[in-house]
Amino acid sequence: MKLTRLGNGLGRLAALLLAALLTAAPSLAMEYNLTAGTATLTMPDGAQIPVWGFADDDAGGGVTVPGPMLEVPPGDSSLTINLTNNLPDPVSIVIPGQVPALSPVPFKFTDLEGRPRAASFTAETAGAGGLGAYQWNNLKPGSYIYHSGSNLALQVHMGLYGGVKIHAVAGEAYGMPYDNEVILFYSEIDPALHPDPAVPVDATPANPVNYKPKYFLINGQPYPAANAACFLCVFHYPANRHERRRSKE
Amino acid sequence: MRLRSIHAAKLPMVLSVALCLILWGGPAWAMIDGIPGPSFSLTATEGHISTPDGGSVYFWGYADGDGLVQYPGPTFIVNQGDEVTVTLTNQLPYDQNASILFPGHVVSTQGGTPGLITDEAPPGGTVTYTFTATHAGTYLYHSGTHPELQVEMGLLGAIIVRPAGYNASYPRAYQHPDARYDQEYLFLLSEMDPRLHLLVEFMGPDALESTNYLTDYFPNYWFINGRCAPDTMLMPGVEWLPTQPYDSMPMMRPGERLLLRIAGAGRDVHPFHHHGNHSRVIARNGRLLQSGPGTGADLSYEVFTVQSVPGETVDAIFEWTGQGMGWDIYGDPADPDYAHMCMDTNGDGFDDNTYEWCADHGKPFPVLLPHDLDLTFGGFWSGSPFLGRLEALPPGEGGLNPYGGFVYMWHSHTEKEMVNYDIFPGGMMTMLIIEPPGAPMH
Amino acid sequence: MKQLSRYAALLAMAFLLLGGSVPAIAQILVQCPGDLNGDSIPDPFLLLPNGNPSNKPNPEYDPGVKCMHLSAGDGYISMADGRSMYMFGFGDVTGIPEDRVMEEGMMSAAFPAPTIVLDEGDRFYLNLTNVGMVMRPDLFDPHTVHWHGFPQASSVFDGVPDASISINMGSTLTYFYHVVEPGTYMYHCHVEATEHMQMGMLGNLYVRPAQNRLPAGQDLNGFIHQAGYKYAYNDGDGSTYYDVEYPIQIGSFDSAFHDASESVQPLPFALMRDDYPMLNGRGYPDTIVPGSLTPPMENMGRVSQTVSSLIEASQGQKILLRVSNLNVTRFYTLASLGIPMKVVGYNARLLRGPSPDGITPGKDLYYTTHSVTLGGGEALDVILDTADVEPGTYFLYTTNLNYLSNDDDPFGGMMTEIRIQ
Repeated sequence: MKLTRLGNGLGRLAALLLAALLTAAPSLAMEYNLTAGTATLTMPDGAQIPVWGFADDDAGGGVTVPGPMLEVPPGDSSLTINLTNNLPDPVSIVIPGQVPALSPVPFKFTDLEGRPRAASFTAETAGAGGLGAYQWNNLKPGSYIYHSGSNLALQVHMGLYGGVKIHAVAGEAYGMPYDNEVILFYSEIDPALHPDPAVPVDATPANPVNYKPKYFLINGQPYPAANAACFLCVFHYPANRHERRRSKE
Repeated sequence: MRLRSIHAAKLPMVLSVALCLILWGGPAWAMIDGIPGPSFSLTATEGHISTPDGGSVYFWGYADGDGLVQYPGPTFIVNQGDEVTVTLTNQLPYDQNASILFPGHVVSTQGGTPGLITDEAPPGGTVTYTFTATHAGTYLYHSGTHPELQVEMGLLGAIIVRPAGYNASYPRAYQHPDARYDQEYLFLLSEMDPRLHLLVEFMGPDALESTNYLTDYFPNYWFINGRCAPDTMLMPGVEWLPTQPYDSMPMMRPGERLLLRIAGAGRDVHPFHHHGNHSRVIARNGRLLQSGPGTGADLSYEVFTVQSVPGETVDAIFEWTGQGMGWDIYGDPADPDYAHMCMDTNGDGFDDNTYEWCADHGKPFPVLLPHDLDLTFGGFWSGSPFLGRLEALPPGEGGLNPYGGFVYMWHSHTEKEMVNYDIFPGGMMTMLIIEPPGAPMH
Repeated sequence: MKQLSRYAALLAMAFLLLGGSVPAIAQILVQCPGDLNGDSIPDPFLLLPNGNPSNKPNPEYDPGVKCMHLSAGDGYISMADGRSMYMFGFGDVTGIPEDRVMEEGMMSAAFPAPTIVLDEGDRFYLNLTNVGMVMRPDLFDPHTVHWHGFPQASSVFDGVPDASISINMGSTLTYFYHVVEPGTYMYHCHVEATEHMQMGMLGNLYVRPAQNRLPAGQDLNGFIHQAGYKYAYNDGDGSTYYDVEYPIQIGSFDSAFHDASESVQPLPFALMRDDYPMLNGRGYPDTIVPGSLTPPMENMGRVSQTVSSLIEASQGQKILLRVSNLNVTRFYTLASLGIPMKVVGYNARLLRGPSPDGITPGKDLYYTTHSVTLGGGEALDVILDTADVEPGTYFLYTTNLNYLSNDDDPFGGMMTEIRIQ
């Protein structure tokens, strides 16, 4: 199938400038620098699964599936993700449930029958080192998922997803106070949909309609987890671990 | 002349036979079949069940003591506040341990050996579970050992907890009057992948490791209370289904409240669609949908299809009167053959006894029905559109509805599940009969 | 295969037209109070001898009566990856005189079936004529219509063949519904349900509430009704108000099953697994084609897919999605990316707890989400509020991501676009 790429997506600077112009009132913003890259997951039966995932540039630790847990503290109403894409294919980031700051510009191509078709729900960040930025304003508090908005049938299955926690009030979720928090992030893996990531693909290699997951994960690991003590890994970052970046516009 | 003349019909002989088959059997009131507690003794063992396509499926199930193994396991009927004790004896083959989980209850164990999730009975051994049935409602129990295999093999069952103060003459599912009902029926939904059962029967469960039957699960039998349609509509305890004692054929009269206890005992989610009317979901997972203690089911909502999620139970109340149909469901009152009255002395709009909607009294049947030769009849068609009426049908037609009730299909709306391994009809399906007032029920 | 089926079709049509397989008693009979010429459309005025309306009012005309005439038969649709698919379906033959219904009705099957739109209080006469299967002259299946979710239904008009009656080829059965409850329902054939529904006899059906017809200026607990305002239910407070509405029927086909049906093979029930996920009978990008799709050649020029799923609105408008699921194999989850969903109706009922006294409204059960999960036979009403949404193109798509393809044609499947200006 022929894909005609229109340019290489919005540059990071252009995106931020545009966001700055369009954002109405001065507000506090949380910012993350993520990189999309490859990794290999090892299942308890020894299977090695090539995956695509996100890494937090500032935290170190490389690509994980699920990706780094993003957190927006109370008082921040806006989230920006600066993305570096080291994968062969263009990717993007969407957060279902949150409204993007800018009018979305889905990436469309024209298929063989002359029909315009979306390959991506929002602007793409080009592969092989491309840079992009994604922003959401007026964040609604709660638990959300971020994932690639491009060629979802392939890319999200490959592992391009992670969680987002947006806090309205510290220690409360939806107005209910809590003492402890446990993350349960459910996902699956069908090895047939995990091609060797070194080979660029334009489309899903296997027929996705025949999706037959073989591995069922909580927080990226099936039972028994490789780290036996971490069966229910809690994804949280200590308060001082991450320098909080705020930007005022 | 297209107008079909409607006569009162004589009962063909075949109907009386059907009458005995369909309506006899079971307790005198529509209560769920089960065993009373609060102490239970179960044996986990192996057996075979029958499917209507002529299949005989190997399964593992719970037997009541040293009785015959059954699918589903015996339904426990206990009272709120009871201390329930369940002793499990393990006679499973292939060196399998056996255990039971009681979702929704806090369980303590005695004996047995520690397993991954709970304490288990080793082969030939026993384990005892104790819990207090603190809340009324509908619950499940099932194996906690290799549940991905053992639950599918058939080690599952239901628990009914009667509310404190339960009065069998004025039954309620929970203490609040919002949970009152006239008839109650259990719909325990499950499935089986016959490939898995065949492999386990002849090669043992270890052979599954070289297949993908557990993850690429593809059932081809679907059950309500352990039977596939049309066996769902046979009477309970028929001798040719010795390991499948429970039926699921609901019956009611207009104006009654029918409690559906829907239990998702299998692996798959099923949309359980009950034709005829909406039902009101009053409780889920053994908890009344209430905004606070004593408020009743003020958070209840109406559905025509109940989402049955694996591991969850739903309690819903179904009612039917034919209100607002726009025509008199008992026929033309001016016709001597159909003379009837609509007496509403309490002002609720319905006849005090038959629950006929008096605003529709006397309204004519709105259309001409086609000639018999232009129609295909169902086995439950009485020959007449009117409630309680029969009309002559061509030989061999009808016969399953001797009192002329209104019949509705209750089934999984994933229609693929209305099949018995390539043979339609079958699977997760049964019929509700709304009998006319005066017709005998169970 | 194409050549053979064209020949077979012509042969079958000739056979049927000659009345070879139609029993002598079969009769097409339209029943519709106020309809004077049997075309299933009530006539407000008496007719002149030449068939045109006169200026004399028809005393039998009743504005509360609605009628429709559906054919039940077979046909072909076009899948988004270019292949054609054999299907069974209902077609709209309303307005066609009785003596032409068999001829016009053959191969008129549509997917989804014609959308039925009614108003609360209507008395609805639905004429169903079984026009036979042109491509399967060996089949003599009867058909029914099951109005899924119709409250307080009667057996005779419920459409379940085992509990009722179904109509044979060449004849008409008329259903009657006194439409008491507004909401989003659906309808389908219930004869050999697994087969006929997998083959496509599935339609959208919804009922508009009486609240739409209130006099202008009526105060609904603080919300002032104006002429032309539309609501999903009789909410009493305007909370289900919307500007534009779209029925969204979730469905999917198993191409192996349809192919087996077309080539007169045993039907593979035990292997049923859908590979063409659709919204309103199309896979993306056909879902965003406005209007009708060009039918495949096998359908002899008859249009079979008329319901687009392209959702368009102006910023600030409220969009009502009447979502139903009629596929026969699984549950699907539909998500809205960028525009929040507010679920106000569930199973054709306002999402509200019971009234404690018959007057005070019950507890508010509306909820806001960004995805809804439906199994077969479920329906719900979602309002998308575009007030705080930037203009642009958004997506309504299945989060069962592997169904974002038409068989193995990616960037397709159960997805459509929401365009906000």
